[in-house]
Amino acid sequence: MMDDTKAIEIDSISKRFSKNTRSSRIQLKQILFECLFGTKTSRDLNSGEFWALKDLSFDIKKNENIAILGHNGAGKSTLLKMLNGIYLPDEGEIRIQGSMASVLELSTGFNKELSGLQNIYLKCSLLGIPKQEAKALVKDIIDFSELEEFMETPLSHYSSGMKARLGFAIVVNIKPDILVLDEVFAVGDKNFKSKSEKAIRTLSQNTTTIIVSHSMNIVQKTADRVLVLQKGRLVFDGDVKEGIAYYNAMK
Amino acid sequence: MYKNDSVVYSSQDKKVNFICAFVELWRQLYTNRAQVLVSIKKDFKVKYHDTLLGMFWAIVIPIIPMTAYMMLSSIKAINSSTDMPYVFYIALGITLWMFMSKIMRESMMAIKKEKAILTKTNYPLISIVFSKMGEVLTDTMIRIIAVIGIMIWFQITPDPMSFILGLVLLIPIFFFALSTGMVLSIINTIIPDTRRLFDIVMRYGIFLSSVIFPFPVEGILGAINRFNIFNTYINAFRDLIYHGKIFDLSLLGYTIVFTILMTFLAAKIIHYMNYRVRAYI
Repeated sequence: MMDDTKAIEIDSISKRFSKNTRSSRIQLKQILFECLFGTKTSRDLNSGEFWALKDLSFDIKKNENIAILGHNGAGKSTLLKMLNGIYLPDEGEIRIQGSMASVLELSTGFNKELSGLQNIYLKCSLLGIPKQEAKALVKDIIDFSELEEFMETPLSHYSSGMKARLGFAIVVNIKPDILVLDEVFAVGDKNFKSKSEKAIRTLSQNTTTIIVSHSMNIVQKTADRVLVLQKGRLVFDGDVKEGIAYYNAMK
Repeated sequence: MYKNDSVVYSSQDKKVNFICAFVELWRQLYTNRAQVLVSIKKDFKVKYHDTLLGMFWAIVIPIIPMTAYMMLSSIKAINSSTDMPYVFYIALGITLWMFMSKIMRESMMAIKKEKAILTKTNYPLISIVFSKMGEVLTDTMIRIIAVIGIMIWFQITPDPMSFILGLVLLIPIFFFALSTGMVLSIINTIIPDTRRLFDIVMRYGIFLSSVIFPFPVEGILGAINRFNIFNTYINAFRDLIYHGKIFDLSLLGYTIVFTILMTFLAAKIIHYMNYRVRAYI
């Protein structure tokens, strides 16, 4: 049973990945055999595999704001995907208490043939938000995105910046207990960026947020704890300033 | 992805039996029904969105395969000696064939086509598969309307009980196509040649399944073809609607039992692979 003060418990999780297609197929075949015949997949790495995450353990308290830092390939996105239930751990366990919304890519779920407004409903639906709730959010989303005059325009006529703004406007207007965001801050012009940062700061006061960002400015403004990952392992867990210094000192 | 419940993601296997897996997949589908409906509506909206004739294509395209074979028959290019009006024979055959083959293809390709959704959201695989059924259902409805028109033209009136049994028979037909497609979708991620093999089998299969002409029941080929599930379902459905009875009831019985087993097997595989497959596609 989880302590009421905690939003997330991560207990010794590991996740293996394949380096190439051949190895992926071998792994898929093993999982299929495991399903059909109960044969156990080896806990050791096979040839062509590596640990994307290894023996990760930490807790996140309710309303705590976490920033995850690490170089490319450190395992940040894999960790977020596991928190979101997209990947199951190969070892260990993740326990989550409360509603969670996560956005790993702003434009995922958009359809370029549909209008901006239709895409708001489509994306909300993909995020599991019922139509009535989505309806109530539409005005705030349009206002935040500053794209009112383009709401009837198909997304194929949007610039990539406009699409990202629409995606970001949806994200900041849904209010879950836990919000997971992967590198979704570099959106729009200077004014929109500052508006986005402000929105995330406001949101983080009553929400547990977990963000992945390479912008130290955003990390400093939004996080109250930093986790640093290196080659799939947790190498730092603590204060924001120290965490940033640790990350900057890493090769 | 937004979730309301507290959850645990564990490496420990949650061993579920075939029936529990089947029930769990329906629960996932029910939970995500609104999203599935939005996706189906979206696919329909965008399909002929940028064409001049819009809805015209939505109606004409599904009927084209029927008319093509009818034309071949009219120039005696294919054997059209059937115990019922040939136009009806072929229209119903094509409707059932396309219904099954499209469901199989859409289910089989769901993982490859929707990789972005599968690797960026935790939308269940079964919901993705059902989101792809919109086009199949609308095309089938249009073909059924064409079949009804042909029945009126040829004054074919099925008795009410046969008609109801025909509708019931569509359930195992649907599950046979869906479960085969879902199993193939997993095999296709391991052996990518699966899709090409499937296309070849289906191209020949249409000629072996009494879709456009009756396949001989005598001889070795006839005996082998008793195992052709497409052939069994198409003949049974057509006989039920036209003659009011099924001639080979035991064969249909075995085929339905096979379909049930196949459905539970597919449910178990999809339930197990749902979140395990995503890291490797």
